Amino acid sequence: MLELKNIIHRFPESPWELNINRFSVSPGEVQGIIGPNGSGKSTLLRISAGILDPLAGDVTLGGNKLKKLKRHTIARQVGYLPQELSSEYDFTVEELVRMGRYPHTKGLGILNSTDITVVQQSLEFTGLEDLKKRRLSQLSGGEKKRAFLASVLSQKPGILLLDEPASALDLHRQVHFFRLLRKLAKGKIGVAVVTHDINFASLFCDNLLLLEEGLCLAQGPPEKVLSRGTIQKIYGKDVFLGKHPETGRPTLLPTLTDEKS
Amino acid sequence: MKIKTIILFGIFFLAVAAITPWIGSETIRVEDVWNFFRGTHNPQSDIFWFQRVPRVLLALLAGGTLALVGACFQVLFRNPLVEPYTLGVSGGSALGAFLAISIPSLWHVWGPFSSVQLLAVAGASASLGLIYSLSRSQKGISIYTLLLAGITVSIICGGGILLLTYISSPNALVVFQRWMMGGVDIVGYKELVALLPLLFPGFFLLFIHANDLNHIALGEEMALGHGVPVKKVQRNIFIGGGLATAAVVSLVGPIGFIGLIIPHSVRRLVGFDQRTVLPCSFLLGGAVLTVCDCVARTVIAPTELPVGIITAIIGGPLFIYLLVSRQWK
Repeated sequence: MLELKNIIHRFPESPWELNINRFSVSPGEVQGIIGPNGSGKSTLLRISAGILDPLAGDVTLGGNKLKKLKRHTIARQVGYLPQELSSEYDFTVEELVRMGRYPHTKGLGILNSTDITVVQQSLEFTGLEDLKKRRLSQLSGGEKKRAFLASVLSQKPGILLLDEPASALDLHRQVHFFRLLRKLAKGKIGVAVVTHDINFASLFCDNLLLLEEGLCLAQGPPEKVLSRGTIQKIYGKDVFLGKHPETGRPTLLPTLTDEKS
Repeated sequence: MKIKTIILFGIFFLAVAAITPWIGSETIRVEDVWNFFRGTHNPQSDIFWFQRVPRVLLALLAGGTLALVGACFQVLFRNPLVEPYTLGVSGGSALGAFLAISIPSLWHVWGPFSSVQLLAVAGASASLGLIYSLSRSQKGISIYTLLLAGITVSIICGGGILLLTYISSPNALVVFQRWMMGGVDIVGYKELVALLPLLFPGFFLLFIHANDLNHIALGEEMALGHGVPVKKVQRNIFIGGGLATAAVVSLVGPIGFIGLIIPHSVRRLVGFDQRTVLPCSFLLGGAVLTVCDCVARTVIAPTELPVGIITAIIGGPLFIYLLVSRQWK
């Protein structure tokens, strides 16, 4: 389990502060991190992945302090997909996915038969088998995201931290992507996903963490977090809170109040 | 990693190494070269063994080093226009060499080392040390500060060189100008041996991180996520690249374009896997500089051109071609 306690973080020459009492990701659950721009979602995820050291507080992985662990030890247990993905160096999909085996190899990163099997599984899981010989520049935005996810999956992590993995995808691809996350959670992987799409978070996540200006506004199941009170506090009266016809989970739609008046 | 591709590049490298010592204004016969081992010396055998072979070996090493460092730095800085001299190494090195050339009391030779070479290495080391300390923070090295500090140190060294140019004697200016044009014209093997204490640790630090560089090419955060100790890799590549470049520049002067163009060409030929790109860049860089030197010493024989002129004349248009063809693609 990945656990964060009493986290405080500030950036130099900025009054903004992230202040989170408790946040955890357990195997088998999908945690959604939501909130408006600048609320600290990505900062929280980067601290969880050990990319950023908080000014105060503890981050533990399986009871061990994250700070004391070596990077390859962390990478064997935690997979991190950043928001910005660079494809200036035009690797093939297969090369990229093979790179995910880094924490399990040494030196020049030569893969053994187990590594190759894991790479193959990651390609199959993300539906990229037919595209494995393609270069990153030959992929669509959605395919590229899946290729990077496959690379992180081939690390075989128990915890997966994803920063806006479904942004810029069309509706069909977003549904596909979030279904993949549910499938991963079924396989006992803990997933924390930063997303701007509250409806997707509500439908596909077990728990949500709602942030505003670096503070936790609400935490728990979507029905509890997406209440009329919290939604109005963040988005004002511009949104309408309804229920998904199939699941009964909260869904948000924009209102046309201003135009009517 | 493509072993067969590396072997192919290796064959080309060895072919260039085997053929180029035979080319030059003086015709050399196989018997002359062979008789050297039987104790029969003649001017042709001496030219072959004490001028052409060391010169070819130096060109192979220097060209290989510049291309290797260029390939590493382009990934480290994630900037395709970076070359080994971007870190201010050549500026510091040139200032050191010019000090030794322009101040007579500083001109000495100790065994394989000359004061020009030693002060060039000292200048390069001072530049690197200054840049490293400027870009270091509690969190490690800032790549952007490193790049800016490198450019700034180059400008400061340029100022020092201008000052020395203003006060130096005309003779010293001619020697310095020749050094700046770059050249691999050495006699004997002493200077080559003097290179090795800096080159080998440099190569070691660069080659052991070939796989790590693949991940850094994906961005710092992605590399950290994969488990790469990014700061340690950045530091080692910086030190390794700096050491190797300082060693080469101190002996051959600032030879341009090899460190910029060869990595670009190699990536086009073999793809982006740095475990293949780094050895192939070394092999192709060495071979290309050797061929350029061959052209430099034969094109207007018996007069020899500095090899830096040839690399600039060939390299400039080739780089423009690579840029334009990439845009069209």
